[in-house]
Amino acid sequence: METIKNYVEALFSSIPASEEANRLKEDMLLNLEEKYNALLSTGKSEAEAVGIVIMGIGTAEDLKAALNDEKLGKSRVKVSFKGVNVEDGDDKVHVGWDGVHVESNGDGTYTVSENEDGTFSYHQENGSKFPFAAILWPLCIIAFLIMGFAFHLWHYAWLVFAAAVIVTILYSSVAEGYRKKDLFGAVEGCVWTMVVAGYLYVGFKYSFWHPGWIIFPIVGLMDGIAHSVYGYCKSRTEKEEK
Amino acid sequence: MLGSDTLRGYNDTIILHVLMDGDNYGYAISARIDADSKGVYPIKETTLYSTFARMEKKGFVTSYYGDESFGRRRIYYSITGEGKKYYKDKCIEWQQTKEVIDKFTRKDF
Repeated sequence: METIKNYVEALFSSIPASEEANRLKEDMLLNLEEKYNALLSTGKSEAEAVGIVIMGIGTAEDLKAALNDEKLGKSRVKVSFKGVNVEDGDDKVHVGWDGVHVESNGDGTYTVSENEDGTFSYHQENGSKFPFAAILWPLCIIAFLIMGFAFHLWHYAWLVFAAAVIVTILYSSVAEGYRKKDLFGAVEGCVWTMVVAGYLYVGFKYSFWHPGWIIFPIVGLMDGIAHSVYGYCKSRTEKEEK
Repeated sequence: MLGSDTLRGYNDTIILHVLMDGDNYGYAISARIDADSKGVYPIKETTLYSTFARMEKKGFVTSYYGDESFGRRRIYYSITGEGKKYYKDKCIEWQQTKEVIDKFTRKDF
C-alpha cells in the first residue's frame, strides 16, 4: 500500500497544490486502498495487487486539465492607453510605459528590464516600497510652517525644501542603483547630489556662484572618464570569468 | 480493451449513468463501470476523478462526505437536475453518433 501511496503523491506533485487537488488526492487514496483490499480478497498476491492498482491509475494530464479549467476561464487580455494587461489565472503580465511587470502565482511582482546586450532580466520586489516621498513632503511643510510661525525664520525655512529635493534625488539614485545591483549608478547618484548640495552651499554662504559653476563641467568630465574606465574594467573581468 | 481516447467525451455520460441509480463513491463507481463493460473499459482513476471535478464545476453533480462510522470518510457524488438533463442529451447524441458511424464502418471483417 505504501508503494501506491508514493505513486499517488508523485502524481499529484506535478499538479499545482490547491484545496480541491488535496481533497481529490485523499479520496483517491481511500478508494485505491479499497480496490487494493478487494484484489487481495480475490486471492491476488500483494505484489500483483499493487501492480494492478498502479496500472489503473492513469496519467496526471487529465487531472491537471480538469483542475485548471476554472483558472483558465479567468484568462483575459485588456488593451488601453496605459498598456497591455494579460491575466491568466493567478498570473498577470502588464506591459506599459512604465515597464514590464510580471506577477506569477501570487509570489510577488517581477519587473523586467532590458539589458544592454538585448537580453532581458527580471528582479523580484519583496514587499511594498518604502513610501519615501509620501512621508518626506508633509514633514517638510510642517517643518517650514513651524520655523516660520514659531521662530520667524521664513527666510531660511525654504531651505528645507531645497534639502528635501536633494535628499529625494540621493535616495532615489541610491535605491535605483541598489535595485539594479548597479554600484556605479548608486555612487554616481551620490556624487552628483553632493555636487549640487555643495554648489548651493558655497553659493549662498560665500556668494561663490560665479566661478563655482565650473564644478559641473569638471565633475561631468570626471564622470565620463570614470564611466568608460568602469565599463572597460567590468567587460574585462567578465571576459576573464568566461 | 478500450482506451480513454476512444471514449473521450463519454466518460461523463458513463459516470452519470451509474449515478442515475443513486449516489455513489469513487471505487464503487469504477467497479460498476468495470463490471458493466465486462472489463472492456477499465476507467483510469485520473480520468474518473478529473471527470468528477469537471462535472462538479459544471453543476452536473454535487459531492458530500459519507458518514462511515469507522476510518476516513469517502466522498459521495450525487446527480443534479441539470446533470440528468445533460445525461439525456448525451444519450440522444450517442444514438445519432452510432447511426452515423455505423454507416461508415464494416462489420464483415
